[in-house]
Amino acid sequence: MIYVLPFFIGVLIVFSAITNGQLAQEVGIPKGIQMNFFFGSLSAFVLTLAFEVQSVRAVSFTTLPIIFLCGSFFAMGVLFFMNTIVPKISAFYIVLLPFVGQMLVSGCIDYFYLNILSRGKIIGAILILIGIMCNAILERASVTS
Amino acid sequence: MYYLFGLLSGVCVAFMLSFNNLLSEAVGIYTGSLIFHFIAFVLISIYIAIRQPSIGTRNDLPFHYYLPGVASVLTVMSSSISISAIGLTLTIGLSLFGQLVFSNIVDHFGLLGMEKRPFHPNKIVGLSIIFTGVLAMIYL
Repeated sequence: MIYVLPFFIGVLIVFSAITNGQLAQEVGIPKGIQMNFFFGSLSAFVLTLAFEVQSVRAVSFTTLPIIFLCGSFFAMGVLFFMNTIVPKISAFYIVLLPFVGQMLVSGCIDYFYLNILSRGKIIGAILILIGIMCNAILERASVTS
Repeated sequence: MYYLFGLLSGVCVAFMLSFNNLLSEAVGIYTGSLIFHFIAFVLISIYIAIRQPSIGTRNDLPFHYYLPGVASVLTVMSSSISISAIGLTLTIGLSLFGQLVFSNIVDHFGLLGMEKRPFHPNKIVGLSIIFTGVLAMIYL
């Protein structure tokens, strides 16, 4: 069942990417991103109020390592790099290169931090990479023909 | 240079997921998601205030344009649960497979206002290899 969850994340990512693209055409990229994070904050606030108020009171925010808050800065990095490369390189590399970057870092984190990097994950990542390349090449061939 | 940026965007995604997971484990998944989105909202607001990019003024936006924010919250929460249970590599691998399957469904049926692009049987080759990769990640 837990394997369905990341699959569902993929569905959400595609939905967001398409809708954000349409939204950016209406209000511009920065305003679209701002709206996203505003409504994200609002819905997360409602969920926190509904389900986590009691446990939040027990959290000591002053002792929270500052590095735990860095996710948002990396989100800005993703937006900056993606908006820079999308008009400049082909769709093939737009899919391929971020995937390679994700696999390199996630492999290191799984190995050094979570201690769960297996031979299967490395083989799987290589097969996924081959599949992406295969798909892109076949798609390009069908478009040109 | 742009190829390096492509690689770096993937590096940032992996670090973002990883730090969000740490934050959620420390403060809870809903609060973690709230902190992540609020800091990101402040950062993009500062950027807009400094750079003052041209911004569209349309106010009568369709309802579904507001949903990616909600989807983002669900993504952060689901990622945190998934990374804790099966690790980062498999989470990213499975989510990529989900992206490919759903994007092909969207293209084939012309969903979400997209142009209809019928599914080409050739794509089964690539999707099968990717699915084999996901199975290898789970079972090997």
